[in-house]
Amino acid sequence: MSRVLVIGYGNVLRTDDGIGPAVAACVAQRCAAADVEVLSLHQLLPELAEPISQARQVVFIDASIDGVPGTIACWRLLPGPETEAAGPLVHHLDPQRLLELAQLLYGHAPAAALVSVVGQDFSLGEGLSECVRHALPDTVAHVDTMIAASSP
Amino acid sequence: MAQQISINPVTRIEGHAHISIQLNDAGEVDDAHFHVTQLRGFEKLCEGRPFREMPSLTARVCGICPVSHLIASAKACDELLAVRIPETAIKLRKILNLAQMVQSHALSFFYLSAPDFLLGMDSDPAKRNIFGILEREPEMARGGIRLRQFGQQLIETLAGKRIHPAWVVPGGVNEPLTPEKRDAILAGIPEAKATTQRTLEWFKSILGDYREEISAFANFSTMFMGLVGPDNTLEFYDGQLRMMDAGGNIINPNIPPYEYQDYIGEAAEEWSYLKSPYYRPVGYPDGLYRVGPLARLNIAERAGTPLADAEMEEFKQLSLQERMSSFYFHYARLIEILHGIERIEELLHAPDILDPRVQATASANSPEGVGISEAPRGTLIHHYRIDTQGIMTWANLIIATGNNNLAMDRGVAQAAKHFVKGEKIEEGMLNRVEAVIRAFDPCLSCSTHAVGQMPLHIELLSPDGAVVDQVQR
Repeated sequence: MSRVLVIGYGNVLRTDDGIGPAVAACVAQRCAAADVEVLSLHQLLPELAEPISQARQVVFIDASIDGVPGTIACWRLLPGPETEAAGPLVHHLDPQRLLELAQLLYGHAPAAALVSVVGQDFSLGEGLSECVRHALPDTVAHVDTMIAASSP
Repeated sequence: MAQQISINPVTRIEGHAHISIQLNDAGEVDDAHFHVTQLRGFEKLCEGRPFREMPSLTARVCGICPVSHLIASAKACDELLAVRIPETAIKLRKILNLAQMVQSHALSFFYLSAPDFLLGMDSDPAKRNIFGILEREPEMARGGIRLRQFGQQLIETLAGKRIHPAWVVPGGVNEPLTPEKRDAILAGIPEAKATTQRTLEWFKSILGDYREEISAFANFSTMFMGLVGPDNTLEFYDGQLRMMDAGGNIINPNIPPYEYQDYIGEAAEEWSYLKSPYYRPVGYPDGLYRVGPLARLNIAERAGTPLADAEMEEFKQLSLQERMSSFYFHYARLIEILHGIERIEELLHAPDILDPRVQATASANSPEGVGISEAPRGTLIHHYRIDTQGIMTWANLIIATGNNNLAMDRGVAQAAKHFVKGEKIEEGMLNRVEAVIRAFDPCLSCSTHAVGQMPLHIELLSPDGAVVDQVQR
């Protein structure tokens, strides 16, 4: 049976940019389902295309810089470039590009969503700012709900 | 009026850099420089730390090459312990180091440079990426991604995680290999080997299309430095540190690790935070030398594994003068990937590879340690001094990319003089100057021990320093 892939990504040494890995850690701790895999990553890389293509759903969790700090937003994602100008792709990808890569390379891009949390502080440092820390439980709950809703 | 071109940032390399091209009054390229604009100063950070932290601490120099630093650092720490490292631990470290080489070379070739070869140096920069390869040659894109994945997965299987693993420790490694892990790694070997062989055949078939680039991409006579095995084969973990002159003569067959500073000096230039190592007996700047895949293949007589031996024999049929072109770094990189996969397979079949005795333990027994290994980009040196309590009092790191700094700087000037015409930067012109740097696959986070990505900026300057044109990506 295909699985749900939860990918929390960001730089944990850049304060609120670490919200993705923080949510991933909480989800991994709470979720015992065998068909759920949780990854905590610094950034998205092309090698993820293969496991993504094998999942029935992917949930990305990332920090956002636009909006009121602590705001949680959920976005449905479709494969394709985030912007027209893809740029000189070096070491990281956005989720849509990764889905596109999964589709092109392996013939399948699963249903996907991005859960984002607006950060307040992206300076050097470990730990989350207060408002983002307060948003953590609700963000985890959002992800839990999405996992539950995707059960076959 | 003479002018200056600026390329800032340089793209598809590891770190942050900038190229400036100076034009003379006739509008011709007078000079060009490669500037590295990031600084962190890791050596100073290490002072005051317990030496046992050094492998993990110095691995943080870079997110691309943590394994290379782990290996060189652990070797320096082994010297501080003054113990004999278990043979199995050495084999496991070698496998990890080769896995790092495979994944790093795969990233350099397939992600960063292959778009130039497959889509053309003058192609649309928005398409010149892995997606462009995917559109044109999906099998190559898939193969490249999976080859890098093979190396990354191997690192994770052995060391627990891909970035900043803590498995390599002073005295050995902290966990033996299990039969399940060995078999999982071996299962990936045939595909990795086939991808590399297929890519090598393709790359050799297109070399004829790049005669101009071969002639002008940092193509000049230099010395080469690198490790070689006792039978003059490719060696990445240990061996003799050797220097070869531009005529192919071995001028120093075995630089003793503790005497490296008698042979390698480090100069500083005002235009870059990256220091410029040079061969001290010749002096600065004529003591310019190159390291990395091209240097290793020029210095070693053969690879030491069957498939790579055959490829290396073919490579060596090029004249030494031809093998001076830095464009051939790409060719050498592919041969090294093939060798790395073969050597990993060979090491995994060693009778003692599952031996549980993988770490020697001791207190610090020596005040000073030097560790030298080959990183994907070339020779890497870690040198530590500690006090009687095992606290770091001094560190010196000579990084693979740094060794190539003088050659990259000179190579940029050569390419700019050949390809840049007039006062306006054309896309293909810009890309070729960048591609010279890309051939070396520099890791500037490592080489300046600083954090960052590497976009590039090219500036065209007049003799009075005014910026006439610039491109930033």
